[in-house]
Amino acid sequence: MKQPTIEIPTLTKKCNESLILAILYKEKKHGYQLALEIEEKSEGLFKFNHGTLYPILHKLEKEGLIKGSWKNEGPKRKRKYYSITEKGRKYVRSQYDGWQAFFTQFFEILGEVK
Amino acid sequence: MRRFAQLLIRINEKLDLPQPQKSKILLEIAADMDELFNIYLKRGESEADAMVKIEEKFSMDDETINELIALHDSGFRKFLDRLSMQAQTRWERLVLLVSFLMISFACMRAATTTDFLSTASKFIYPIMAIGSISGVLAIRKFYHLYLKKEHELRTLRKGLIPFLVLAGLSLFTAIFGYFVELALTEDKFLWYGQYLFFTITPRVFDVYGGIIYFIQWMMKTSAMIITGIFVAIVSAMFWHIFQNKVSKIEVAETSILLKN
Repeated sequence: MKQPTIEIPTLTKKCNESLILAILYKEKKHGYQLALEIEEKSEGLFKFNHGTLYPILHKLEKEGLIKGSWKNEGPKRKRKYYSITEKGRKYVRSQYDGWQAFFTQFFEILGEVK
Repeated sequence: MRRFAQLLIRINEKLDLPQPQKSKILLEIAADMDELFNIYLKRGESEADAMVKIEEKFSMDDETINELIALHDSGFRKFLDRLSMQAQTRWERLVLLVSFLMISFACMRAATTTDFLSTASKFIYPIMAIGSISGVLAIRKFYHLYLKKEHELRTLRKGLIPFLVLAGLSLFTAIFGYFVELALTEDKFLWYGQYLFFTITPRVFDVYGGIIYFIQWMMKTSAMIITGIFVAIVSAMFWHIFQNKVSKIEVAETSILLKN
């Protein structure tokens, strides 16, 4: 089976997308919760600027990988939350192998400096 | 959310998108800011520190803003962005000129061939010209508001007042035309009136002629007045429709920043 490739120019974007889809895999979340959870789970290694999150979320929504829904929470209070779609689940599962291959090769090359 | 008004205003100014996409994005960001602020407070941070963190976390650089615009912009706006400003202006002027010629041609044709209008006073022509101008301005405003989606606050209300002016002008022309026609035929009415009043046995032919003349005059002026009122109503309707649209856009632009 052909492994999905991770291209270097889009590395950061692909990384962010995969992290977001992975966090949404189990349950739906609001935008700010995604950034917080990624930071907490990575023990501060992955720091997200919340502002940069929105183009990524909206792009994933446009591609049908996640679904955004509005919820009324009290008078004059509406909040948007995101949930992963079936297409998104398949996509992120397929990305897992790609990332595994990427880091294997990455450390193989980097290992030469040791 | 009012505490984040300044940050939202900065994002709002840079986010060149039409409504309602812009409002939805700002609403989402504002709601997340609010929730994150409350989380920081629960963690024991002061309001001032929490505000500073929110400012840092939610600041958007030009690249992020441009990505959002690219994602949400309509196909038509993207097509227009590819044309230079000069090319856009040339095309817009050409479309307006063609629209004006087509509407004017249709009005002239109706004025000269339709029974109702061909018997009308000559003042029907300026009224129809006013109607043509109103139609062309409506096409132009529709293009800017609905197709090009230029929702910049400072230019939103541009071009609305002319519709009311044209409506008033149409009514004025119709009323003015009525009095001019009356003045032109005043002598003849007086003559007929005097003749029929003072003649002991007026000839049936003369009575009949007088009545026919009066009816023709009524048709002439009423066709003109009805057309004048119609053009005024249509022009006022254009104003009303665009005024509503503009008001909705203005409310959407400002409400998100003032919500609490």
